[in-house]
Amino acid sequence: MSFSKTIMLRNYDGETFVVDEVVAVEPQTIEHMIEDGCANTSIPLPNITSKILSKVIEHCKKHVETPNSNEKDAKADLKSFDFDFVKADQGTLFDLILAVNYLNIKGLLDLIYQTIADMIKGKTPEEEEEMRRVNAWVFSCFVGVTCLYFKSKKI
Amino acid sequence: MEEKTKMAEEEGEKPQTQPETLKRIRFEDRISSLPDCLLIEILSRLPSTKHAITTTTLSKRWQHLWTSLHTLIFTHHKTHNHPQTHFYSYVDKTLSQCHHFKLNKLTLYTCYDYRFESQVNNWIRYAVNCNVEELNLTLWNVECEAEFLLDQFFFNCCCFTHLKLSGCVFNPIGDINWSKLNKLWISHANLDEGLIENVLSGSPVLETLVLDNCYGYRRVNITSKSVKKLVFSGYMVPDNVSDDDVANVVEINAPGVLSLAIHDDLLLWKLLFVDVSSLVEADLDYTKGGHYDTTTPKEAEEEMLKGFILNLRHVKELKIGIFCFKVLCRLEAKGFVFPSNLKVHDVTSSPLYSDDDSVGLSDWSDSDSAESRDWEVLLLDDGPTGDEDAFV
Repeated sequence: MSFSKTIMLRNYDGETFVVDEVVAVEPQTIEHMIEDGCANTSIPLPNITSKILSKVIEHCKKHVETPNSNEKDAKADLKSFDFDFVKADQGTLFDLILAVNYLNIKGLLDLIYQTIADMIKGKTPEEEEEMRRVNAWVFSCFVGVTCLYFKSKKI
Repeated sequence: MEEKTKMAEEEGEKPQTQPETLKRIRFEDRISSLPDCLLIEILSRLPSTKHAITTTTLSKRWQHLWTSLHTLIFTHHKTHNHPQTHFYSYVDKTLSQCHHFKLNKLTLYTCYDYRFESQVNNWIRYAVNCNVEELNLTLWNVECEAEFLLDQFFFNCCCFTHLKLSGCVFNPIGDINWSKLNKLWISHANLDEGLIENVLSGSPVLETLVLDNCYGYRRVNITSKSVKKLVFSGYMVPDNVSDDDVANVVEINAPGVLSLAIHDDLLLWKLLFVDVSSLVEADLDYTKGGHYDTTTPKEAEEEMLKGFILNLRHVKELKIGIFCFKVLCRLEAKGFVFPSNLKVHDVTSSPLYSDDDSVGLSDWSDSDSAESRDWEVLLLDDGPTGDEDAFV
């Protein structure tokens, strides 16, 4: 009978999270810490709150537990999970991005980057019109503005 | 005025613009508080570089960010109203503002003619100098003929990992050297066996080859050990070739390839397999056009499909799409016995499916639906929003 190894993560609020090693190594930062032998007691993550850390663990767990196959159902399930995952409020999304960047979880980073990019792009029609009006002026002055900017910074 | 607003609120109505504006301001504040490296990652995922440039209006801090994007996407789908010189000037202006050390991807999608040859080559040179990994060039014209002549330096770039080249003319002098190339997609090009051989021997780590509506060649000879996936997507015939000359027979010799897909419109008389003994999966979803010899079009279709099925009996999984499904039904009606490795896509959801096709469907229908292409190219339409007008 075998049991999977667990890793303890201690965060900003002093809380500890016990996760299976296979989940804990999804974040490359943690994987490297374990390889370097820093994981004897618990791994410190002082800059991440409980709320954010539990969200991250939730995502890692789901992706580790879903079989890595080309099965249509598995892919659709993951896609739907990711879609719901990022429906979080803006505040969480920005805290998440900083934590995930620190932890270095490529798949989740890509997802959050794309979500924020979609939020930038998805403006209301009024904002689009405003943007268009401004752009016509902006681009034609662009070279001038850039020169002034660099000049002011003495570059 | 204030009283009116208060009254409206009391009645449960909210003033509509305020929460939206506040939300947007908060969003902009939060996003601006992120470090530059994260912002650049986010901006690189916008649908086009133009969108990234528009963020310069957010604040002074944003004005230089877009010049470091690791992905550049320039698309121009319109053929009317705007002279193309306008688009080409915009890309010139944009690139002159950029300072990249490294570029991950450059996508260019536009109508093209020979006037812009040196400009496009300059852009490619810029990208190559930044060690670009993924390059997607779609330079189309109304005649669907390749016109952009790739410069010689293009054939010696060791930075490419993914190439999609549509509407390009290949004329390498000497050996091609694409030492890191992993995926190659060539579209609407006139190829010959010598060129294909040159490409394959110059790409030692190539895994996926897509030949999309190319023509001119009679044999696809893949002896390289690295290529695992071949997509044969259409075989074209240029307009200047008369119908009588369209008696094309193409052979595929790919003893090491594991995955084969045959799609799109084959203007061919015959497509033969010389050696595909390693195939594990195959996907047939094509239409047959071209030469018919002494048979009727329908008989020719049936003969081709029957030939494929018999020659692919050793394949673990042979998938059939909607276009071939109709031919399959006719074969079945004529008493053809199908091997057990045959699986039909979920064709009932296709708009081409009709109830007449349902005969025998239950025998080999499979819940797996359309193929999952792992080849993703970001070709985006800036949409009919008139955005191009902004850059006058």
